[in-house]
Amino acid sequence: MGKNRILVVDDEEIMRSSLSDWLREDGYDVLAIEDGYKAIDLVKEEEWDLAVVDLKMPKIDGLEVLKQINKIKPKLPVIIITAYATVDTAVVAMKEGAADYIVKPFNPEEISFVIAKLVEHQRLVKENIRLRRALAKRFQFQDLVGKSAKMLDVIEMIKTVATTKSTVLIKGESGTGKELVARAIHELSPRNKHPFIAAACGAIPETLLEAELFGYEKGAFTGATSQHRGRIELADKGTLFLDEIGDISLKTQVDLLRFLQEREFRRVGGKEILTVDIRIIAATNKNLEDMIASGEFREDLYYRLNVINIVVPPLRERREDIPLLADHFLEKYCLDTGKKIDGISEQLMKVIMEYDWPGNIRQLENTIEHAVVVAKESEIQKEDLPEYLTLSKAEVDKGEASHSLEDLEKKHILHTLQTNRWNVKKSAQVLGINRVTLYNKIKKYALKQDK
Amino acid sequence: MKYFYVKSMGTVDIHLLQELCEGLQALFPYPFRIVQNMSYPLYAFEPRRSQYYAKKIIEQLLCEIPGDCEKMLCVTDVDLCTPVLTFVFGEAQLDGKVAIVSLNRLRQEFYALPSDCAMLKDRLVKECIHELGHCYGLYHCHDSQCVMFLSNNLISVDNKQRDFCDQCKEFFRTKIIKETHGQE
Repeated sequence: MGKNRILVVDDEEIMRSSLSDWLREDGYDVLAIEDGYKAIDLVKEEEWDLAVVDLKMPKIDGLEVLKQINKIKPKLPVIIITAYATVDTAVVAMKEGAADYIVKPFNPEEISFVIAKLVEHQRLVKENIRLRRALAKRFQFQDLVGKSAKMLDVIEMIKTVATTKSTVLIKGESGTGKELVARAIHELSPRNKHPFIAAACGAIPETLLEAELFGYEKGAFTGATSQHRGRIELADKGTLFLDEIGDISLKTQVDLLRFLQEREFRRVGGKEILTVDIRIIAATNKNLEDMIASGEFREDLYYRLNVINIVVPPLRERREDIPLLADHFLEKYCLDTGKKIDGISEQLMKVIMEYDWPGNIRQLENTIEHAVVVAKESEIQKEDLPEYLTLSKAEVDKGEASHSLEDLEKKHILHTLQTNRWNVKKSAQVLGINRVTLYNKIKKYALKQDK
Repeated sequence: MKYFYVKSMGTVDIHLLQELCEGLQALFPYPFRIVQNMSYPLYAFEPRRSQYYAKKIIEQLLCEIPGDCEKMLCVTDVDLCTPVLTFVFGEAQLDGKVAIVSLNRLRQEFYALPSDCAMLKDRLVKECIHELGHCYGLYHCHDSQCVMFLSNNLISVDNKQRDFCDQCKEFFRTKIIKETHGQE
């Protein structure tokens, strides 16, 4: 284990050398400097376990150094030392977050005790961060993170179905991680050496979907200048993931049903009957039973797909997973951005624990990414969140007595679209949903841009 | 041939110094030479605190080191302090040549208790080993029984042993071997 590092800031050379000599005898790695501004830079750039800062210094006083350090590294303990103790400065120092306020010269027993206590506290803080990260990994299954009962049920189901060939239907709201569940099934299955091919049915125009799934022969339609293998063929021996299955037309539903029944197909414009060995996993955020009732989805196809049913819970129903997920995304985006951020402030955690996350985990991930990008301190703060998350309840309600969930969703989507000048791509990112879902919502709520 | 110099400063009983050398001999593999100096280090006196700055005395002693000196240990009866600490039992140069220990706060009389020569000698030996340990590069030890444990009060001085713990002993032994080979 490395030595604990202490930064000593005092304008008097004799104090610096005396204190650092004594701390070195105690086995600490000490850097003693005279300039408070340099101390602030060093706190930004390097890792410290404790800072001991003199109150009265010519360029910048100890209280200002303390304030700055608290902004940069709120968890770094700072002891304010002074030869001119007053009750006022002691009160201000403690209010500003000083770990202690000690009068020079120190009683050796007192200073030893205070420093040992703070260094030990700092060790525990660091260990806590390390353990939380380890915990996030412990509760990570493939790319799925969670320890809630609902998520553990999903993981158990994944393990059970992975070894079989059965078709799986994954249900869940947008952004809950349905594709991650599908990928986990594939990775745990004997097919994992073969391709996992995903097709976002809702994102592919209806006219192209058939050709995209089944492939086409040269000359099958205008622009078909060469033979093209469809996703079903590409997934041979592997897994085909049909996302947004509720968005496909009745015509494609018939084609897909035929393929599922016979496991044979023809490329568009082709005569040759092809066979493949694939496992089908479908996913939807729609209520297929309602769609069957309204004639929008074929019942026979539904039963073909719904052999094994996995329901991925929305984030608001697994709130206990939010800290784990937030830590997981924090680590991911720290790696991506090269930023060194130790954790998440309590205030931010409170906000994200209380929010309902209509865009589910995708929205949470985007939120943490946003916070990491704008963060200036060693912890991501409430202020680093996108504005819509931190609006007070009163601001959200603004004179309106009650809302249904749909009212709130409509208002939130409209607000996001207006904030982003009706840029659908950007708004979808902010909301943590994909563009197709956003278009569907715009249609559903008949949202229109003000001219 | 290298010697350990034990130098008194102020009023220090010669018999106590001789007993100290006998106590140290068990751990430090060099012959001891006692040098008596009755004068007080007025250059290190801090009138506002009525104490003496230990570091200033060490700096002066460094200028007086004989060529055949392995380490110099100064024993004084004045009350020692540093600019940041209200008092110290002793002070040493970490990985250096000189150490100093004060008898002042090791005496029972300082705390208005009856004098106890045996206790004083035991405390003096422990604090001298402790400071000389720093001269050999040893840091404070977390083992409260080890002589390198940081003692800020007499209870912890009395509680610790006159010896290094196994870990400190190993460090000290390696250091002595290295220094001996370095000299060769």
